[in-house]
Amino acid sequence: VNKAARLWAALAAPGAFWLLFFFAVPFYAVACVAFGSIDPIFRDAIPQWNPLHWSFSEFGAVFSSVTSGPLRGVFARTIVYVVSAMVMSFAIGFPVAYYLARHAGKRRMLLMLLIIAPFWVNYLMRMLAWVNLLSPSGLFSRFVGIFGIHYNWLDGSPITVILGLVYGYVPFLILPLYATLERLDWRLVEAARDLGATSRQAFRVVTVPMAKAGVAAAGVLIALPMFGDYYTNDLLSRSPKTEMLGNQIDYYINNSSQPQRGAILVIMLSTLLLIALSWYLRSTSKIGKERVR
Amino acid sequence: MTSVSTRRVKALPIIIWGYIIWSLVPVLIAVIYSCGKAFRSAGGLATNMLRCFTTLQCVTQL
Repeated sequence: VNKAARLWAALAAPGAFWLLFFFAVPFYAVACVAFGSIDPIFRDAIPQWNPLHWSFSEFGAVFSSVTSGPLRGVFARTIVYVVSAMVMSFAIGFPVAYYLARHAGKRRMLLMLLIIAPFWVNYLMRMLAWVNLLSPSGLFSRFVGIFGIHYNWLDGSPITVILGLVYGYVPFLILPLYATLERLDWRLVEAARDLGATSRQAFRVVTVPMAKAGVAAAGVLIALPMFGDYYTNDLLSRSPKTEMLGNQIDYYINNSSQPQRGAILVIMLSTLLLIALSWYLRSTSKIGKERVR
Repeated sequence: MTSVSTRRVKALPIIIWGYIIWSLVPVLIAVIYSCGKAFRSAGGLATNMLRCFTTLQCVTQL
């Protein structure tokens, strides 16, 4: 048994080392920038590689800006956008994955192919396609204009940004959900129906608890990149009214004289996501333990 | 009970086909529309198709 365990550990070692190294080193570099200093003349970040000399004064300023200053709105907006986009993604993605796993039959392969097809087109290209369609002279705007709807979709509209996020990330939700639902033991649902449960009750009491791990995994998978997303907003809105945290990080690092603030926001966002991720790990291990029992 | 579940199964294909249309059609329209613009702006279909894809006019015209 020990030999087998050692073999599995050895097989996992290269991957684990790769992930750890390429996560730990860049993250340490970001921390060194965040807790370092700024060149007084050129306003470039000067990383402080020695943790003993890290300065936390700028961190305190950014933290107070997030809790009670101008960045509070950006933080709140990011959370609202991501939560709204996730709710919409689940509303679209769950029925799609459910149908694929349960009712697609012979058409499953075709439907899978069509769902994966957007991946063949680059994310940027897909967003640019929407920019084209939603512009005032675009096909979509002209089409809805026939019905008397004249709305500037690209003029800092939160709906456009949220729909853009949903459009971009929903395929990443469908695939893990489908993988989970496909492996479910549907005989349990049939047993529940045989015992008198309505389809809604069977779904709530049997399907949802069994699919909980997949739902959590899919949620985490789309929530993490959504929190750091900046290009969806950049392409579909480019307005300060819809700025998300990713846009602030991009602004501080690329267009301002305070790159240190961008690095601090990265650390704050990572901490927030780490909390979400630890919740996910705890809930999945709990589900695993329940299954073993 | 049967009518409810039948209704639900009928609703699911509508959702899935709606989603597929929503995810694919905009991209197809945009690509065709943009490449069409590139084709119209100069003669010679084969040459312009090649130019459209090699110089990424499809992207830049968006």
